Amino acid sequence: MTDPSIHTIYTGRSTNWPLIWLSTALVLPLLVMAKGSDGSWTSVDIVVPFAVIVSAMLVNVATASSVRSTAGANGVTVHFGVFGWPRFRYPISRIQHAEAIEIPSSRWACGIYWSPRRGLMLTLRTGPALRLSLITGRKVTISTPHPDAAVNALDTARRGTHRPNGQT
Amino acid sequence: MLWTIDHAAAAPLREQIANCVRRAIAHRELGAGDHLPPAAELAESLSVDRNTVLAAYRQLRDNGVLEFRRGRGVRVARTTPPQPAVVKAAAKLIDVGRDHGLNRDDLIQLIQELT
Repeated sequence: MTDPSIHTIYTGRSTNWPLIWLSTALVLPLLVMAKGSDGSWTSVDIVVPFAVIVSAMLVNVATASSVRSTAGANGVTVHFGVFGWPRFRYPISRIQHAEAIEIPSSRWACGIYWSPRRGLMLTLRTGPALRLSLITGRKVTISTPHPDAAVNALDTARRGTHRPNGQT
Repeated sequence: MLWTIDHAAAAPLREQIANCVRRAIAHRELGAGDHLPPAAELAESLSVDRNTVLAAYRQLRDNGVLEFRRGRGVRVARTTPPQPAVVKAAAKLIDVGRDHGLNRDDLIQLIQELT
């Protein structure tokens, strides 16, 4: 039994630098192509699709460029992107097992998706990741730089007697 | 990085949070330019007030450890100054080394052998 006054949490952040660089590299030629045949930048035919594409890229970079994860007595919280959205929350009472895994570079692991075999993937890259097995049988995999430390924080929280945020 | 704070300890929570960051930098869990979690999220996870986390971040910023940039969050400073206590101890080591006839290279070799 650990001291209830001691709180141990893990925080980690993974950034998908290839996505950021690729998005930036794709926007530059679009800027050039957006120029109308008459040399104008203000033609409606050009501006509207251009604005849609750039907006889509900005949303992509803002939401899928990085993932922040927190593990501790409150369970695991995952925030995506610049604005912390989308957000996923797994209370510790719903987590049956947590383990550190390594996603091989041969696998696709970019973005938020679900597969019947691997469950929900909240991964931005291959490499170290935290895999949660929920009491419902579902699996969740999260990209994080030090998954071993996250597992330790969850184990410490499980052994502790304190309840987060005033829960009883 | 791991954050461990003791709500029952005599040391202020602000100091404990700041020490977590310093320790992570010393152990290379955090590097120059790395983001720290937003104060609200960290405060919720550690069951402390948001202002306590902000006070710790401000203290580290004032010491040159962190940088605040509008819209870009809190990051580890590009050049993190060594802690005053470490600088003092290193200065003392240099003085003792000179008294015993050790030069700069000898001291560096000694530290490399010990670490």
